[in-house]
Amino acid sequence: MTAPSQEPHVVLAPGDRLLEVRDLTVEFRTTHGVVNAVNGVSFSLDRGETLAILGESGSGKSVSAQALMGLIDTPPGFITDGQILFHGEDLLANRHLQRQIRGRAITMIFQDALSALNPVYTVGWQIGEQLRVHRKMSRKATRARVIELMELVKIPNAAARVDDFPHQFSGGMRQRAMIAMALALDPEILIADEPTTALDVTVQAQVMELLDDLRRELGMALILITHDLGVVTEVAHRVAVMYAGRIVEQGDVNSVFKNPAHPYTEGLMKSIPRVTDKGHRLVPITGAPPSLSRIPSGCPFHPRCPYKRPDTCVEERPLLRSVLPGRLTACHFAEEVLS
Amino acid sequence: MKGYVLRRLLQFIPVVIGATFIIFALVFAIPGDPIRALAGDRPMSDAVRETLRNQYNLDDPLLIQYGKYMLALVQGDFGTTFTGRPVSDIIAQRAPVSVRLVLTAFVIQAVIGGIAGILSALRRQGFVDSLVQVSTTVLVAIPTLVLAMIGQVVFGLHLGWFPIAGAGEGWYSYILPGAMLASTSMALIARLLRTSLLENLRADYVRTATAKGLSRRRVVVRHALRNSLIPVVTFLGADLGSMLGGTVIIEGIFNLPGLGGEVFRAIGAQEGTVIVGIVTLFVLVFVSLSLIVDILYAYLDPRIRYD
Repeated sequence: MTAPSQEPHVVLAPGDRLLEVRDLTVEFRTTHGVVNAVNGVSFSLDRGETLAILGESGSGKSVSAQALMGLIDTPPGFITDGQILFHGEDLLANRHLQRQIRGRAITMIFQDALSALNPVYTVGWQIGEQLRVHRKMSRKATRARVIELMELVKIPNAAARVDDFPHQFSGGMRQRAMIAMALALDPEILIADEPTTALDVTVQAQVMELLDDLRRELGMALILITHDLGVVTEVAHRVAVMYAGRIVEQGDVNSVFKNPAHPYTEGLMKSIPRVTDKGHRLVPITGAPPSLSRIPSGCPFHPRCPYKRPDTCVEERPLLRSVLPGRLTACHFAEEVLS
Repeated sequence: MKGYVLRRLLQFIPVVIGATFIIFALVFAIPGDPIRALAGDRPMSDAVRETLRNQYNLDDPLLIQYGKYMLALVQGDFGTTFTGRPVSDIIAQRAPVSVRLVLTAFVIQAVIGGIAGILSALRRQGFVDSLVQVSTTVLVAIPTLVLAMIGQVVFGLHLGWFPIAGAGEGWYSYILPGAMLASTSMALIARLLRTSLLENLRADYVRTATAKGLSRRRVVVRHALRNSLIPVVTFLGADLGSMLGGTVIIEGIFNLPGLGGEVFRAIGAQEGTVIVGIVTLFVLVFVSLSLIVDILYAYLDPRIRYD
């Protein structure tokens, strides 16, 4: 697999940023109380960049992505605060614009491609649907473009498989079909929500490589939502680590993984096996992630944190602050974790 | 698919033989002498009775009678009534009434049941949803027989909106009996479609369709609703039988001169040829329609493959 090319980060004026999310807050009002799924998440994305959002299930990473796409069902979900600036325009303030952008400039692929594809239509029909509906393309032109897209995502024998149904495709091919669908209208941002979780390991690598190649060829930006540290190191430029609905650490992938400044990131690093450390015991993070309807006071990670100080960590919520150049961490004792 | 259809068509043979034999045996088992019933109170000489019994093979054992009947049937001869009228004549005259009744009922249950199901799923827990939930429960709970009589009294007699009996006013005369025949299935379709649509609206592929930037209308109709029709079509296939049975009751209550009413009359008169002829036709219609439903099912759900 090719190493992600290191593109320089240019400081841009706010309006020039491709995407900037500020203080995004999402809650779900259920009969059992309010679930605070996303609690003030901010990140930005530049053209051609891959941002990985890393977190366990229930950390709010998928909900953040769904909020970007306007896929949160209200009720029970409510976006109570924040801005999503796409080329400087707030999508949350302009629902009409969000509908214009959804599926066109920003597209999304999902974890389980079998259930994400409609079982009763052919793969070709589903890839071409947006071309017919949004671009008013003719049947014939659509079919030609669909086959082109299927070839772009390296589905072998595309011309013959265009009329197959999703259940006739293998898992990896289905995810490729999903990607083809997402590329149909030349998006600027592709959000991939755990795109390889449901796949075999060898197929996972192929799909990730494909996504990385396509990003470079088509010059789009990629938001990769995952819990897989390996995937992150292979293709992402920057990573945002989420815990209990907040970003706890954000920065350049190599730097974050080599030298984590947040105890949670550090814990994640210690909990994965490494070939070079063979024979060493893995150190799991003790305890379980908190319920999003009862997030602990102060730092949400404090009940599981080895660096915990009774007063500060239990009472004061740490804010994201710059601890190294290009690194944001939400920990009172980040310097201690770093050393 | 071709092989499947062919095999299904071959299955018609044992089904028809089995069904006709059962009906034939049941008619054979009806106590009493149909010839005597035909004569009523008038005296009938033994010679005449013998001739008639011979003519209708009534003295043969069951299997011989059945064999003779089937032999004639495969040559297209449905037999005659005791008054000498060909049964095929009766069928030709009465079938259009029953077809109209069933069609009316089918349209009513598909359209009203379908719309009610869709609206209650899209406005979940709203007023329409509650109304549909309550009214469908009531409709399912009341037997068709009772409902038909209530409908006749309320809409026919008191309100005077529809004719009470007969088929004298063309298609208009079929609306009330059709609605009564459709009532239970209409309620079940509404509920089934509601559940199925609610489930599909939460499905991953509906989220994908939304993420593709399609309009809400297209997401609901082309994606969610299209998939929700699968269980409804399965239900319709199974429901056809009860619909044909229902025509016997409804045609009786509304005095419609259809096949169902004729069966009802023939049972009273012990006219075996009429009963068996019409019921055989019902069986054939039922198996043909089920075959069509099964083929439609494979078309609706490409994961189903008949081979």
